[in-house]
Amino acid sequence: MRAVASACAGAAALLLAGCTGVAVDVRAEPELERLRAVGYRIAVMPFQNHAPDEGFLSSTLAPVGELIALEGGGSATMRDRIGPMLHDDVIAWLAQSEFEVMDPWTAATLLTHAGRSAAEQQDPARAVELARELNVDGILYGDVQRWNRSYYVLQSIVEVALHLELIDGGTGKRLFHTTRTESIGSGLTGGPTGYVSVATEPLAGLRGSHLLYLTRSVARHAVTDLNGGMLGTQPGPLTPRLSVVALAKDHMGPFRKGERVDVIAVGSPDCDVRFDVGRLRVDVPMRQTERHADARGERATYIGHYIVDAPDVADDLPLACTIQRGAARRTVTSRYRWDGTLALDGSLSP
Amino acid sequence: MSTRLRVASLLAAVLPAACGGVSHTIRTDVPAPRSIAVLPFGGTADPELREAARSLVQSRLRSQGYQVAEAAWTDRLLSEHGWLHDPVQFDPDALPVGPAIAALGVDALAVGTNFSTSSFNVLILRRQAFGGSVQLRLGDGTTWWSAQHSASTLGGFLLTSGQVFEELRAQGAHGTPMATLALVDEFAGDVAGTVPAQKGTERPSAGPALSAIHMQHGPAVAGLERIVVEATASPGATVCCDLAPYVEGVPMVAQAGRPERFRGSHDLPAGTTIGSIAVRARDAFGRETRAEVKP
Repeated sequence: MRAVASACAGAAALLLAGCTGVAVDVRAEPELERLRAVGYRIAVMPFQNHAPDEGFLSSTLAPVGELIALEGGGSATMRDRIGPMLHDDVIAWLAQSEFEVMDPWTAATLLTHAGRSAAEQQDPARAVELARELNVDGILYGDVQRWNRSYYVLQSIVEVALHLELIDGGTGKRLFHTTRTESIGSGLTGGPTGYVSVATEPLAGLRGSHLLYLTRSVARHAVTDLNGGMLGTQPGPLTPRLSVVALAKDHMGPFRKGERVDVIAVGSPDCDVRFDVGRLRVDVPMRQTERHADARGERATYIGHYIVDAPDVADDLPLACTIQRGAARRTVTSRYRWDGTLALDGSLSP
Repeated sequence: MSTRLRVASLLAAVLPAACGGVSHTIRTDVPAPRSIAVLPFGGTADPELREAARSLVQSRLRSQGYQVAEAAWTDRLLSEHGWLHDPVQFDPDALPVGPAIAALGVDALAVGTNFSTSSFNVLILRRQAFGGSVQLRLGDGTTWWSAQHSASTLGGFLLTSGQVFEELRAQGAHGTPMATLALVDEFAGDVAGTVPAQKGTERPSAGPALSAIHMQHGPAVAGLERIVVEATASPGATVCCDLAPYVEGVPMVAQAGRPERFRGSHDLPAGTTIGSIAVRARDAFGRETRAEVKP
């Protein structure tokens, strides 16, 4: 009885492993984390497409039509469109990462004016030259390695694989690479519950929505890999925190010309803390003034001020502080709001 | 109401929403805009999700060939004109489009409204959705392009009984931050994909001008002296100064009647020796100029 149960469990595990899946081969050099923290500017080159021709998802697969319609691309073939499509997805997600990304249009224009062919732009061996020409710290290369489907009557698999590679522009060293393969299997490995579904699920699994899902998922997760495991909207356990955000001094009425908006915050020590007066004046610097021992770990007090000038006239402005490790503009930032609003009227003298 | 009827009613309510694609309209009788400012998105969705959607829509529009102003720059100008107080409570419909476009110096505003999320999971049926409307409004008040969409996942053992293992996996992912973010990404990708690519946009390469940096000390009061830095930069730029090695990023404000002249003030302990003054000017599209002087 126990053997049967074990066999069933093993079969279930095997089946689960055989259906929807993710395979990742990722490596980041130790210095990448530090480089991200101090601010690392990259240019993203046009992606290559080395997906095998056999089983390549082409326009003969009708459901993919919805994907083509969504992404545009004029009269280019499906194969020609996939690289730019994933390239754009990666660029969109890089905006949520710690990296500063050079505008792709500007990079392409500069390289074209410099006489760089498409092959040269996609050749990692030329990363140092390209980085110098673009005045960036590193070059990111991409290669679509799988964009395929398999159909075996009782089972179908759709898969997308993307390889990303970051080369340092100063040394030519490969700082990071990931090869991420994501697949959706439909049919037997999905656990069909009837004769009809055994026959229909493999066909249903080929629908375009699966492919679209995989495309976006692969791009999002590959950038997450590059960014050290999380994106800007996902604070993790090591993300610094603030426990107190407040005006340092009570103030009646609007702040007038020459008056100081003094702000105090308490939280994780040795961080870059800034405050925003609404969206009017943002990233106003604060400095750490003291450290405190605390049962929950060491904490620090930060203070900062903004001096109101004549053009500052606004009311109902929220006050918020941001805290991040390192001073890079794009590192993961946590935001904390003060429970109140303030008004500025620089047209009034104190 | 019987249980069957309740389930049927629930299905009837959920299925049409789940099957919907992007509903969009576009005006072909007016020229496409080239430069766009994306306003904060309004609605009941979590502010962080709305901000993520805004950021992703910005990136997608940029990929489509449009010049898209940076969010911080857009928000600052809206605030300076009194149109934006608290981004969390921003109501895009209350914004006067013509004056805002003139103030921001762009061809169109991307206005996002009615952003909402919904999520439920009762095992046999689950749905999570993120949706809203986005419009590109021109200076004359017309809407050049608009789209309405709800990105959603729909499942549950009732609907996906043909793939039990798959559904078990999906149940585990339902409502997680990454799954929610994936919906926001799906929304942005789907919606921006209906905007025609803009191929004729010329992009200036030079950053904002920056010159005439000047520093003066105010009188010492209570042990502090006020350092005032002035600089001339392109009107509309976001300007700040660093007083090395003590402080970085003191905001500088354009002076009334002199939009090219910026001033920032900061108090330091009296007698502090400043090593250098660096002024940074950043334009709407992220091009930055930096100049440094010795005091």
